Formats: sequence, structure tokens, C-alpha cells
Amino acid sequence: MKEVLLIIFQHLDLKSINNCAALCSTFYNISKDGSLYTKVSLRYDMNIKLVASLVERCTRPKEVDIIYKTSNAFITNNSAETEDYSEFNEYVQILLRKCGEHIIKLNFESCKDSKTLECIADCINLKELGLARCKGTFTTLHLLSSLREIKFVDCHFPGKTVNSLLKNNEELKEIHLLSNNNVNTNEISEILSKYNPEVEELELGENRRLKSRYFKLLARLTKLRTLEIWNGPGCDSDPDLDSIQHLAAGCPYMEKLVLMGRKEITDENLIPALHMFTRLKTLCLRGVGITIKSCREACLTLPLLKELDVYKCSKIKKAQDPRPKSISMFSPDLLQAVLG
Amino acid sequence: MPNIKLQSSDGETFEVDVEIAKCSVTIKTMLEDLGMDDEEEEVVPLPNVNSAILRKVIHWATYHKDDPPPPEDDENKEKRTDDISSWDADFLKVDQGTLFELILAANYLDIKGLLDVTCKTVANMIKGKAPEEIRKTFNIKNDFTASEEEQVRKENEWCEEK
Repeated sequence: MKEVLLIIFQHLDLKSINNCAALCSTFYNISKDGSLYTKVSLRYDMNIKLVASLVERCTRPKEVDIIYKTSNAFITNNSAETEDYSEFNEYVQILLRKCGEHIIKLNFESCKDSKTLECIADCINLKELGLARCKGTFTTLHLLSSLREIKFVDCHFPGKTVNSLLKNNEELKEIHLLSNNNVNTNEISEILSKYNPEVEELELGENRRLKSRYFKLLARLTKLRTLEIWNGPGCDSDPDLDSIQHLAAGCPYMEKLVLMGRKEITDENLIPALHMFTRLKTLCLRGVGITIKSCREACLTLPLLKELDVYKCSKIKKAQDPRPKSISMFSPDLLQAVLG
Repeated sequence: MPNIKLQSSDGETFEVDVEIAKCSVTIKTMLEDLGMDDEEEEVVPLPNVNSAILRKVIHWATYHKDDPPPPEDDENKEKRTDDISSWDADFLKVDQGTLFELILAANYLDIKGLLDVTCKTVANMIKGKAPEEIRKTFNIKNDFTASEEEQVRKENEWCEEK
């Protein structure tokens, strides 16, 4: 009977579980079962007693979200910096120390407490780590070694933190690095090309421009399916004109390619590359040096292409740009129709 | 297709297609372990299931015989309770006693799909209800002592907010 009740409880939300716990001793005992708390979210805006009770009941959590502020509150309410997180911090630390080894997926939102963030290293089997708007000394982050996925957004890392993390996690498959402080994309590319051959999805949106000779190194990530590099316009003083061809030759599985402002990409080097990117479904080249010729070639040579975006390419004249004004993506069918 | 005979606790025998009967992991392992031959006129006794419930279970299993095998239990998966098919929902429009007997039978026979959908149905009866409503719905006796009750109330204090 007890195992059946447990299955029913597993389908209940926290509030319903607690409503049941108040009814009889059998239900009360089941409500304490650790298997009901495999997916936990601790939020600073929760009643601290609830946080305490969750931390106590958690024995084998697999997915944990720790949220200090929602991203909206972060933007609008700066005075919140003075809030006292010490009690909340303590419970988070207790949870991670007590059962960190069971956690597979961990997300931190807006945590600024170094001591708490250091407990991430207790999650020795962690596979997915998300950090958004966090700031700390991160002295233990490099101790993690079984990561498969990371997503770091708007974080403030001390220099080289991410570098050593990448070096120590050779199995990484998915990497997203967006608007973080102290992440040098040129160094990141170099490290990835040496230490992380398993990467299938890479998104780099850091402020510093990725130079084309470092961009070229990404061709060593032969399993890449998705590559997005979001850094803005700007020029290399000494651009490597072959970089896109190298990428095409090295990454035959590429399905989605998004590149911004890489002026060194022109018809001359893109068109030969297109013949090697046979699996491309999405091609977004904004602000690059191609003409309408490349667009035509892309439509003709890429059998799987669904989206082509050539916004802000100065050599494609407005009159030639077949993109409907309100839609930034257009279909190859439409392009072909326009080109005749 | 070969059939086998299943016997309920009250002695009634049901002849069922082997493939349908095998959606019960309990029956499946029984057949494999005992090396029961399809040709033999053997009867599988199910002492924990009465004929009314067994009839319903067979009805359910027959309708679902072509379903893909249920996915491995994935604790990370979101536990949803709003994805009960309309056929199942109709099938489970039964009195509470029958519903609970179905759960116990599904558990004993180890039929994951049926166990899942019946447990979800009960979970939906609990969700959104106040404790006293739940107590009434399922006729649950309060067996806490006064001091225990105070303790439980204290632990769940946060719950009463808002």
C-alpha cells in the first residue's frame, strides 16, 4: 500500500503533499520520503520555513534551482543589494554539502555569495550547470569534472575561471557563454580546440571580438552541430580569409551556423565552404562581406536549408535583399522566387 | 494468436491473448520463469485480483495492446497529471473503491501504464483541495495525538500563508 501511495504523492505538487501530510500519520510519513523531492527549487522569496523544510526532506535531489532574484527584479530593484541573504545562503550551503553528489542539474540565478557558490564543487557528479547573473570568487569551480552542459550568462568571473573549467571537463557537449565578465573568447577557442573535442553546440556571445585566426581553431571541433558567435562588428587588423572554409571542412555535421559582423567572409571563401556544409538547416550571416551571389548559391547547394538571414550585409543592396521588411528570416523558396 | 487462461481470486477464468496478458510484467515473468508452454492448458492463478477488477484490467490492456512500451522511469521528467487520454478518463469513471482496487491490481500485476494513469487520477482528486476536503473525499481518519498534530501544524505553517 505504501509504495502505491508514494506513486500518487509523486504526482502531487508541494502544497498538496503538505495538505495530505496533515491528515494522518501514514500520509505524514510518506510526505517525508526523499523520492518526492528529486526536483527542487529554492527561492529567496519563499518562506524561510519552507526552505528549511525542503532542505531537510531532500536526500537525493537530481535537479536543483537556486534563485535569489528573478531576472526582472534584478533589473528594476537595485536597492535589493542590501537585502540579507545570510539565512538563505546557509540553507543552500547545507543542501549542497549534504546531498550535492546526487545533483545532476544545477542552476543558480543572481547569487553574489562566494561561499555559497563554492559549494557547487560538492556536486561532484554534476552534468549541467547554469549560472546567471552570479558573482563570486569561484575558487572551486574548476574542481568539477563531469560536466556535459554549461550556460553562463552575465556572470562576473575572476580571470581564467572558465578556462580552467573547460580544461577539466573534456566531455562537454553544450557550451553557452553570454555577456560574462573576464571571459576571453580567443583563449576560449584555443582551449576548446585542444581540450573539448565532444562539443556539439557552442554559443559565444562575449563582448570581446573573436579574431578570425582563433575562430579558425573551432574547425577542430569536428562534432559541432550548432555554432553561434554573437559578438558585434569590428575588424581584424590581419583577418584570416580562409577561416570559414576551414570550419566547413572540419565540421561536416554543422546544422546551424550564426555569425555576426565577420567582414572577412566573402563570396570567394563562403561559396566553396557552402559545398562542404551539406547538412546546414539555418544559416545566419549578418554584416558579412557577401553579395547576393552567395545567397543564390546557398539556396541551390544546401538541400536542407530552411532559414537564411543576411541582414546588414552592406554588399547586398536593399533592392536585391529579398527579405520582407517585417521578417528577418526568409525561406529559400521565397528567395528563389525573387531571384527567378 | 495463442491464448492463456487467467483465474481470478473468486475462481472465474478468463481466456486472454498471450500478448495482451504480457503487458503485465508479473504474468510475463511468470510465463518465462515457469517455462509455461503455449500449448499446455495451464491456468495462471491471480489470487490478489477479483473477477470484476480483472475484467476491467483485461479491458484496459486490450484497448492499449498496441501502445508503445512505456518509457523507462525518468525521475527528471516533469510529473504531469493533465495528460490522461479521454478513453482512459472515461474508463476510470468508476467509484472510489474500484479505482483503488484497480491501482492495487495494476501494482500487483506490474502494469506501468495502468498504474500511472490510475495514480494520476487520484492525484487530480487531491490537487487544489483543502486538507479537510481531502479528508472527506477519501474518508481519512485522523490518527494524530494532540501533540503530534501541533507538531505537524508547526512544520506546515508556511503552507497556510497566502
